Amino acid sequence: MTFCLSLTTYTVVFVEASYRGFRNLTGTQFDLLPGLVVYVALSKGSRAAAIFSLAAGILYDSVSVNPLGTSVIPLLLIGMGVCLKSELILKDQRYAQVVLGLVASGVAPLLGWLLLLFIGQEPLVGVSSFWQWCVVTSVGGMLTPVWFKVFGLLQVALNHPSMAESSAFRSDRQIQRGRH
Amino acid sequence: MLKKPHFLAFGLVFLISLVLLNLPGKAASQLKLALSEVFTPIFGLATSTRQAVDHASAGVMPRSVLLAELGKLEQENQHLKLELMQIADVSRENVQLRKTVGWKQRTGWNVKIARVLAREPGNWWKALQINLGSEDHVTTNTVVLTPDGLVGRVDQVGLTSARVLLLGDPNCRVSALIEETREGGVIAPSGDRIPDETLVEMTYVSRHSQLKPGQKVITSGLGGLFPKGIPIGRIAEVHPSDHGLFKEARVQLSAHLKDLEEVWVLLP
Repeated sequence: MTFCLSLTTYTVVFVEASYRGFRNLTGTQFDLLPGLVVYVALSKGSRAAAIFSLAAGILYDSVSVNPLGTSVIPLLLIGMGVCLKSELILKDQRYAQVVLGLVASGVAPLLGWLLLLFIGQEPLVGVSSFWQWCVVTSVGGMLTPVWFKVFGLLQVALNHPSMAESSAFRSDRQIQRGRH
Repeated sequence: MLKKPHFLAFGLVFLISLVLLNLPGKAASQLKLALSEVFTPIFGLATSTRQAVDHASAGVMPRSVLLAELGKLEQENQHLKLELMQIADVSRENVQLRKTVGWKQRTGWNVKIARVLAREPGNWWKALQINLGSEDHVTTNTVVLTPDGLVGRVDQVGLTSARVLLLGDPNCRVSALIEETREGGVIAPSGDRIPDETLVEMTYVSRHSQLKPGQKVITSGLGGLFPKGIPIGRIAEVHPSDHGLFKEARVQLSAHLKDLEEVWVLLP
């Protein structure tokens, strides 16, 4: 599963950097990493979420103009927030997954923007950024349940099937008592 | 709730990211380039696949379309040959005149074609990655253009790839000139930051200048980074600056930054 998750992260960053169709259509590029960090935080725990944030953030920044490490902190904070409340979250409910995805995809760019301003960068932000933020948030939110579904299926396919608990009683080994 | 070791994991990653953010410029840039090389094979594979698909689709083009295109290209070739003859004559004359006046001779452009590998994944910057690097003598601030006009400048150079900042990125400002009136200004990101990649802002133009839509904007050569005379675009709209000290104009870029697949890198 770790390999699948790493491969997915790599592919997501690659697609975000090379696929132009969505940007040509909407004027903005989607970001699927916040949704992924929600999945990792809920399914794999806090340690995995921290490592995922570091790896995904660094990979993303390596193909972006962002200073190295800028994307790590927003993902890390989202992962930490989700882990803190993980016991209260109904992680198997699609509604909860969508809401968490929306919040994560909405918060990540805002945190990234604040961080960039804090370190003295001058990102392209203006009136149209609101539209971009809406698109990024909606797409991220809508696609978060997909990660749960895909990784759920992979889990089933790659792990050993869980065996039903055997009871002491087995009908084929029952000693038939009677007259012979 | 989080347990102590889990807080430690988050704290450690937070510290690592703070260290990364505070790395000295050169070290951070080298590390970034090394990490981005992880994507080079897959970017190469994607580009080759796209080209193979293009070749395959070209292979099934009807003969009539190919003949029509051939005819058009032959005509264009003849026009270009004629133009080249005239230019060669003018160039010879120019060399002689420069010799007479004692001016330094102009050197021709040494261009190399590069393929676009990837785009900036975020919405805050305008940049792309090309498949030429220090192996091909590309250096920082190398000029990148297309036959239509200026594209931007190289910002970071790896061994086999380089990152290009496009016109309209906050870190790529160009000294420009209106070809007709010879008045100068600076090409900066579009004022209201509209997502249209084909528009930029020309600012710091004298408020007495006669700016009109349709006028051609070229590089001024000031600053020594961009050679003089590279087309940038045409003025689309003129308006005074917020405080009225100078004029500003929205410029429609000549190069189609949206669908770039190949660019020219102007080697030193």
